[in-house]
Amino acid sequence: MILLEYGYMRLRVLLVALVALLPVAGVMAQFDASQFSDTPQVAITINPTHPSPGDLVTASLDDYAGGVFGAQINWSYNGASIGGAANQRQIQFVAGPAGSQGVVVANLTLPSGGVQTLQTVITPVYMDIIIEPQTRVPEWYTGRALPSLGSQINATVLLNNGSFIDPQNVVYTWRVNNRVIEGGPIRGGSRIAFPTPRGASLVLSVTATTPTGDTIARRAVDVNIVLPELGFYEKHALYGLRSIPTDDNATLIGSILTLQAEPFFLDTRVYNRPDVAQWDINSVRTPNESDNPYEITLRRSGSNGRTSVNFHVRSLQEVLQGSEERLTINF
Amino acid sequence: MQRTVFIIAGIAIVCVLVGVWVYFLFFATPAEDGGVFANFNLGNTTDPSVIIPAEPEPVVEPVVDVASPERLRQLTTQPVAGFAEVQLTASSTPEIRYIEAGTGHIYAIDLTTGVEARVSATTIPLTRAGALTPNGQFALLQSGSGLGAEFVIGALSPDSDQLRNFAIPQPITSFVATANNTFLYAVPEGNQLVAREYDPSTNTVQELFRVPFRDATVQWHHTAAGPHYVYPHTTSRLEGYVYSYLDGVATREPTSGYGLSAVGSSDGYIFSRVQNGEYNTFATNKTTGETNSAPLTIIPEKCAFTRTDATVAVCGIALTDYSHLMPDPWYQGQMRLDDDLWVYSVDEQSARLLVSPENATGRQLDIVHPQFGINDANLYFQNKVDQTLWVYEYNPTPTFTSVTQ
Repeated sequence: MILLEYGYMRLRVLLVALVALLPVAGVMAQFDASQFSDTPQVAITINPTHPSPGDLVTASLDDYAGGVFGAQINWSYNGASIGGAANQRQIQFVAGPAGSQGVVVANLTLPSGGVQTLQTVITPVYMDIIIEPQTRVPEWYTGRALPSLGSQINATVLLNNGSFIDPQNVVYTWRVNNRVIEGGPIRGGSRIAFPTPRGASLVLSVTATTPTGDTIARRAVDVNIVLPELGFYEKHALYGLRSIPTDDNATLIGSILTLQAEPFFLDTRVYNRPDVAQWDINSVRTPNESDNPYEITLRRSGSNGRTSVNFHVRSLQEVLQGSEERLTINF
Repeated sequence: MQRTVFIIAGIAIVCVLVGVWVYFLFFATPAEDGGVFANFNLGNTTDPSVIIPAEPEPVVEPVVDVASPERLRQLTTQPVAGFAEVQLTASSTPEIRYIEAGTGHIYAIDLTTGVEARVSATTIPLTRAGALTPNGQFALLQSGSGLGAEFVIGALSPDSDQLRNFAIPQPITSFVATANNTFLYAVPEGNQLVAREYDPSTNTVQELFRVPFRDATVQWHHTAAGPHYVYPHTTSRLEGYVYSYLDGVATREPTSGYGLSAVGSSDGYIFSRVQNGEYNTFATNKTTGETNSAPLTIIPEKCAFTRTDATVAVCGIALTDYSHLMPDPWYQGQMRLDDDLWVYSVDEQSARLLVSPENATGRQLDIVHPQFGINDANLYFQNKVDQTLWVYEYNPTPTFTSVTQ
């Protein structure tokens, strides 16, 4: 009887030991047996990993195990041997045109006489990130608006491999300051809109992959964030707004001068509904007779003198969304 | 006795005083320089609180002599909204026509005699921009700006000074006239910018191409087929890219950078960008695919390629130091340039000075909207500061000498 119990106990201990060792055996099974083979593990790494056409590309032998020690190395690009690259562990070449395929081959002749051929293919693709900040610039201004704190930025990514790639066949992952936006990767999401965060600049990055997960291209751009600026421009009854700003110390020659304050890079929402849009003449708040809060008409009073004109526009919700400027008018 | 003497002396003194008073009253009027009583001499005061009004600068009316033998001539004293050299018939002498800013009136100037005539008296208030077809029959005018902008097609008649016009109810962002007497224009639609061609003689519209973003600058070719060069609006703080559209097909040009703008032809293009903190100019020869640094720094918007040789451009170039923020200050009007006219060969990477307006006329010109006339005989352009129209008789067979920057 005692012997029988002893036998049961041994069986139970054996079973417990087996159960305890099973997960370890499972983990062991996940190791690739080839990693323990005698074949040296060498690969070609490319930098940048997804080059644009015309980029200077560096191809390196990734040989952490030292398996190619003493090997003779010959490089070729698209079948043509690269001169001066013999036995170099790193070569540089210029990526071909958009959509072309560049085949980089490294032939390794090992001291043992064995030959190993490594190959990688690059397909240069243009990835253009177009930033369209939704801030105010005058109609005549031919430059681009710039983002200011809190304003909305529209961004569009264009992939071109000789022609524009249909965005519906691409999955886009957008990041602002390395934080994924839009909730994650979006198929066909080549356009996004996001608010400008605090700081002097932001880093916008995007990764484009095929629906099966192969990376097509990835890129990051640094976007400068500016403060709104204000300029005064003379408005002529016949010609409209001048595109040359009024001097800070201007002279009124006629009897009437119409000035328009033109905020640059002010959030368009603030521009359309400013909490503060205030003109001061000689430090006295002056009601604006015009329907346009950014416009004021000055009339000469007295023989001559000097007056200061000040304009202030601002949002009270986002106080950095605003600007104030002053000019002096002699008459 | 003494009392009598005192009385007589007193009366005499009174008489003398009265006489002096009468003399001054009737005869001694102060001379014209008599500012002594009115001039408080504030100009010499050291009191900083005294306001001394600035003397307005004397307005020097520029002399306009369109029939002058000089190759560089000012054609107008008034701001111009648009212009074109037109040839009414195959045998007629070309003339320059311009649209007067503010009124929309259209004038013609005979370049031989200098005679100016108004060909359209129809007033289109607040005219800001315009284009005229080379046959002189149609005009496209922009009135007002921003949301209030209106675009009008006008038909000119040789029998009347009235413009028969109708509006185009579209928010056009840029437009030009082609050598084939049609208009090209761009309109934002959704997230795209659509380029169309309008033929006013048949009243037909044809879509040319679609740009997959809105804030785009289009450097139009003088034909509808192109190539038209398109890039995001330029700023030194954001990256730009250049695309060319030929027969509606887009090509991504191998050019990108901050502060990027470009102007091009079928054979090449000139572009400038900020690189390593410097604003520099490059030229790409599309035949060879080579891109080289230009010998001078150019704002591409100041260039026009000739039509007889698509590798040659004439540019307004200011020999000055450009900041790394270019071209933003120039766009904002904070920077005024004193340009010379240079001819630049993309093929030979060389440049030659044509004329210095300051030396030739004494005027500093900030050249914008350069445009060649028929057979490249004349180059027309405007001065950005006052929008006046100028002409330079261009020699179409230049010889080049290298210029080292």
